[in-house]
Amino acid sequence: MAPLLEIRNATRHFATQGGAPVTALDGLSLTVADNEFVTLLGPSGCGKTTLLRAISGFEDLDSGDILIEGTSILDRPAHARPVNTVFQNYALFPHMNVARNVGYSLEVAGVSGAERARRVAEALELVGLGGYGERSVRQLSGGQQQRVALARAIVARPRLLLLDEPLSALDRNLRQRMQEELKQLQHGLGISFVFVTHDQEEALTMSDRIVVLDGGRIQQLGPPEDIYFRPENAFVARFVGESNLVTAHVLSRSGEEGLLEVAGGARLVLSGDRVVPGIDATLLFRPESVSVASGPEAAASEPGAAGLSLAGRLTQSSFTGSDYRLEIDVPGVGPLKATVRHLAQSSSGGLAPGEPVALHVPSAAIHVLAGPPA
Amino acid sequence: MFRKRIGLLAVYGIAFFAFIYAPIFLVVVYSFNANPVNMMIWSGFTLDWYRTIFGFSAATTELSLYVESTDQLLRAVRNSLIVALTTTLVSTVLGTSVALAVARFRFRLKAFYRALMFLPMIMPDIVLGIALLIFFVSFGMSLGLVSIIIGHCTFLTSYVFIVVSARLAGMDMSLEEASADLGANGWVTFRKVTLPLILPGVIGGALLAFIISMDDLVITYFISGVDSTTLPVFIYGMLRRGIKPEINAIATVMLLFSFLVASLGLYFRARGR
Repeated sequence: MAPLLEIRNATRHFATQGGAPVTALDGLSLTVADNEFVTLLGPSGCGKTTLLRAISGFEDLDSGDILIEGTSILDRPAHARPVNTVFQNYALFPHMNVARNVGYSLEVAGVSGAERARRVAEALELVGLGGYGERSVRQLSGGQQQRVALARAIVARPRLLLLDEPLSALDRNLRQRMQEELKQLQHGLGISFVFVTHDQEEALTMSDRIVVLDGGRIQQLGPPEDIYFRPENAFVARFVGESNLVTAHVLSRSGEEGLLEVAGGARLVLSGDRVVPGIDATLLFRPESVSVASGPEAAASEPGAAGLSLAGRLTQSSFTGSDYRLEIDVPGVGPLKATVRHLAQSSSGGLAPGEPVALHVPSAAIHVLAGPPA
Repeated sequence: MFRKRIGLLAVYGIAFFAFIYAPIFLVVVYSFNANPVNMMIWSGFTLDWYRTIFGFSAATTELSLYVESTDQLLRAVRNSLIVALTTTLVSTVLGTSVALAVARFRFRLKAFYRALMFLPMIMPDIVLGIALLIFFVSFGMSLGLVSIIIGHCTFLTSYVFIVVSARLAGMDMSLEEASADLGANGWVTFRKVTLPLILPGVIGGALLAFIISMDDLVITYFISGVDSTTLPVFIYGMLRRGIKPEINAIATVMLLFSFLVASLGLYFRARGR
């Protein structure tokens, strides 16, 4: 059976004032299955909004195709496409009350008044705004407007819902609550969501799959855990979460395992296909995987521990509530980030900037990227 | 010190408004002055001048018999209304369409088209009047209501364009996208979303066009024919034979009419918010 949404080789260039065209989409292909929550994640200008607008019909493609259930929708105007959109600024009709806003698609489709009223009430109930129908949309708070926009987009039960950074205007608490509600709603309705955001936390929290975009190309496509722990390349590693990237030369390989040497001389053993003798590999590890001990001798004291052991000097320490964020300068490697807990108890003497420290990263927490750090 | 300044400001303010409104106020007062010879001298309250212009003239003395005939006056009023209503309709539709096109579509020389739409507003009336006269004559068109309507439309479309454009500039384009996204085609979107939102601007532009069309003398003077005299042209003709008390009554009625139209405009604007 054909997938719900399929994008084939979508390409789109924009002309600019300077003359050099900007590539918004560069041969991008993607499929979205039924009842799936897919997030397009990337910095501004990565092509995610262009892709969304191409699906909804507000942007043309230079080449490529967009299919819904195996049928191309490119020749259909926006109003004839079986998708609905939640707009970034909500785009609620200011001259209509909440109920008429929500029922707009039914009104246009000629659904009778009673049936319309019933479905509008149901949609409002679903987004937690039961009884708000008669209100003017101008009287609503940002969060309520967001919910009305959502109700309006799902009232006709599209198979596919497009969401263009819908939570970006909400404050932090409300945003987190809406993230959960959106996820639940998507599951409950069985509608596929294509969600655009530049907020990696939002993407990780909600998605079944994340599409990381940059320069109009897919940098990585996979479930949130893969994106976070096993990024394909340095762009994904840097964009999603905080990361330490270290270059290591692969000295030799025996069987599954290879021996690597990082600048500064520290060696470690790693396994994996990307450990090829003779190349420079890029190692990624997250700040929370780094353990920190006071004094340079600590590293030498546990040579048996599998992983990367480094010695450096603490340059910065900040307390965030649950953790300490440390920045440590390792000679030959550069500054590394570490997030540690309970530092206060372990160092009543205090870890002060300038103090020598030892770092250890277990092998399991080290991921080898494809290609050099960009 | 501060108080004194405010006092001076108040005096200035009163003087300023007196300067603007005193002449108009005088016209209204004189329209009720019974003195048929010298309107500067008050000789009692009368409604005679109003009776005269509306054709119920009771006391038509030799001196007051200045409005040649009420029929002529009424015909001028009727001509003015025909011209103003038709012009308003045509220029509102045209001006709104152009404003929508300029606001919504990208095309070559857009800035140039926009400038072309602004130009008739700064064009001297007399130039426009002469140009239109030459145009109509060289095309062998007889001068009459049609030529006046065409002439008025040429510059009033610009006024509507500017008023509607201002309203469109404040309208969120994503509302039209939202409407399309929800399944409405272009016409339904225009009817249900765009038009209701720009309606205050459209009505404002239409009322402006109506008032200006009713009021225009210079351009109309050039392009009106013998039987197509409009009210301003008619009044101008009367004035050439001296200021008579009926003028004041006609002016007062016109003033009242303008107030009514403007109030209507304000009412619709208030409702549009």
